[in-house]
Amino acid sequence: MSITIVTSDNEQFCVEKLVAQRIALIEDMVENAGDRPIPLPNVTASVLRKILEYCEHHKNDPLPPYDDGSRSRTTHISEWDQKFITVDQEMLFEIILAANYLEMKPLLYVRLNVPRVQCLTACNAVAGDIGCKTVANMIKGKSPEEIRKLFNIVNNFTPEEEAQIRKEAEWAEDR
Amino acid sequence: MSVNTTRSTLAGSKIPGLEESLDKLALSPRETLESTSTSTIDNDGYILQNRDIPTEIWLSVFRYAVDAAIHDYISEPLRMQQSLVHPPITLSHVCRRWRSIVHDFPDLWLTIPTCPRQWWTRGEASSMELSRKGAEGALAHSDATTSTSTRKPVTLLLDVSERFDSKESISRDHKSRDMIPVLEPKRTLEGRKSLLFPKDDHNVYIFLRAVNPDLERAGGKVHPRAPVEIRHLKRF
Repeated sequence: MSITIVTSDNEQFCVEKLVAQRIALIEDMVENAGDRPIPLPNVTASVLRKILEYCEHHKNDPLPPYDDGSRSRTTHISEWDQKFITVDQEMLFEIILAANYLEMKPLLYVRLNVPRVQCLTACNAVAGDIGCKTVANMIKGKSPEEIRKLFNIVNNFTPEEEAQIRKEAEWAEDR
Repeated sequence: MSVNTTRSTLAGSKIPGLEESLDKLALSPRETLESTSTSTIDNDGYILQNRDIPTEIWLSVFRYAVDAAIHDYISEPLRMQQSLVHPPITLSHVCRRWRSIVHDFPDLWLTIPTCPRQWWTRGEASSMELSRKGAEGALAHSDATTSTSTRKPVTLLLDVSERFDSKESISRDHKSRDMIPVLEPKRTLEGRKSLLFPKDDHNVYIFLRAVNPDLERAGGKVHPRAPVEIRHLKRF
């Protein structure tokens, strides 16, 4: 059985139900929608294509364990996932945002009636999680200035905040 | 096509549950979380592909970045000690928004690589102050009180060696300023020990005393054999 998904740029995707059900937001809608297309107004075709590529590859995977934030997180990424997430920075963040929007969390937690805030904590546990790990790896070992350059972030600290930051940096370097 | 447009287009349809699903689409997780996240975060501090990245995504990134740095620090302490910049501090120095996020989530501060030389240069009995509230002391901490992590204990994990022969720790009540011993004073240190700080809202001081007087600081300079084994703080 397959379902039809319509992206924000009006592209239609015919997706195997098993694959689409990796996406919690769609899984919630699919039974109610029947044969009608499911609109995803916040996801473009190019991003959905990547998301579906991920879902297709992982469609038979067991659901990842619930992350309550207490366990140590590693930034290890499997070989296939690494290749999957090797995209330009814009696409990387689009995938992260889409995974967040699509609530690509393990469905198990919904069934276990875990409070919604915890589900949302876990919602990056798939494609978005790999994206976050990738961004974390990009940050690793870099100075604030290097991070700003990397992500085109504007330094908008006030002079007073800059003075405080200098003090903190002195402490960090005094070791 | 917006959700509202979709809603209008499908107004004549009788699809059970569709209305509810459309409501869900209209209130995406991003919006839901932003409405429940800290409202004080400054959104104008960065330009990132012209997209506003939700707080919970940055938080997830930061958690990975912090944990990865800790992992590296434990794996290769000597190499990392030469280049370590404490991750939450680095992240909080990037822009105002990142600083707000890092300061609003104490979880990011619960695993802290220590700076042995800094401890050493503080004197014979080096101390570190952990303030659970407020940004006082050598370790600047979040002053957030809403996160559940402020109610969790913090554990100090030390990898120590014969360079210290005792540790003393006291907990000072945040309000009364009474000094309360909390952990095995004068205990010989053998390898890694975990120290549980039992109460919130206490400032905890850890004192380490060098076993060998030769290792004591001389002339204000860092002794070449200064301790290197104190590694990190970790929440249990």
